[in-house]
Amino acid sequence: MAKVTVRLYSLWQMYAGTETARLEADSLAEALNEIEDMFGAKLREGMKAKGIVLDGKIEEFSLVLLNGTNIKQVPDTALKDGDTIHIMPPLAGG
Amino acid sequence: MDGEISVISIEAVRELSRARHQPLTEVEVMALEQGIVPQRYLRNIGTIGTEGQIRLLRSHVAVVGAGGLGGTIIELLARQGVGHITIIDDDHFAEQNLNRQLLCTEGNIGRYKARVAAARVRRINSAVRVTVHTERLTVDNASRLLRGAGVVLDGLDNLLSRLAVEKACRELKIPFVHGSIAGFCGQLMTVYPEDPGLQAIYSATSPPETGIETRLGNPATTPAIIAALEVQEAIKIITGIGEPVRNRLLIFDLLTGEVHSINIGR
Repeated sequence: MAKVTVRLYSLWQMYAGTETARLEADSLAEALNEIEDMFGAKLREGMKAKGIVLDGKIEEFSLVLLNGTNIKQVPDTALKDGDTIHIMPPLAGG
Repeated sequence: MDGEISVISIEAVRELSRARHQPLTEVEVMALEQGIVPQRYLRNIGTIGTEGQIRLLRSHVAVVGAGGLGGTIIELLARQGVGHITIIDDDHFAEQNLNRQLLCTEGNIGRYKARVAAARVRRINSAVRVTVHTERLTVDNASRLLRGAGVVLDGLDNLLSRLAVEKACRELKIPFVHGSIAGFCGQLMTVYPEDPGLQAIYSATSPPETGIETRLGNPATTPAIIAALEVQEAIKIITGIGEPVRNRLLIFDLLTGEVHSINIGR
């Protein structure tokens, strides 16, 4: 099992109540399941308090990077010790 | 003279321009080359020097989007003394823009943002050359609209257009300064043609069209802050002073005052 760091940013950090977490997982999919268990409900509840309903799991409504690359580009990557998963709300306004 | 520095007024620059049949920026550059600072740039010189001001006056910056980010970007570029600004935006001002878009006023609702921005530039700095495009930037026309610019700044409101701009900037081999906002959050990154850039952050096959700003909205301060940082990136790129924010995504949380940096594509 790889030891992985999870980092949350901006609103997600606020709703999760932490900026970082550590977990052990063999695959990205396994890590995402664990992240969903840890933070999914908190993020959805945080946004619901603002009257905003988020659909799906964290990776469906967040920008998720593995070591600085979008996870959709590295879907089947095996995790290794020291990997970092960054999770943040997508910002696209101007 | 201002202290030990020789200065020249706007009116004197205009008179020389008329007498020599030279553009205002050329007169300003000539003055700077002789150590005479156009008075309007006097407060720039301590940070970027006369050489930096000359580089800015000779530069061409394209701004894609003239709304929340773009309006402030254009204002600052004109004041800083960028010689040529291209403004691209097909949208018109609407009442919901009044809370945050610097160039939107009650009197110009319904007018093209790009044209209002160009008029604003001319009022601030008549030496600046302005090129206006009131057509929507797409994958097909991006290279044509951006050709000739030395730097492109992001005033866009969706990811698909940003990816189109980044692709065009790679083809044209010019730096692209990305900024985007949502609520009290913003992000910034400068992308050189060889950098991983937005391509690494967003899925090329299915990027989300919009972010949480569609639900959180955009308050007055967030675009102003990120826009100013984008202009600072352009100044660094053009003058060679300082280090552009490359291969790092800076994330600004304006509620806590924290800034985070994520290494990208590594």
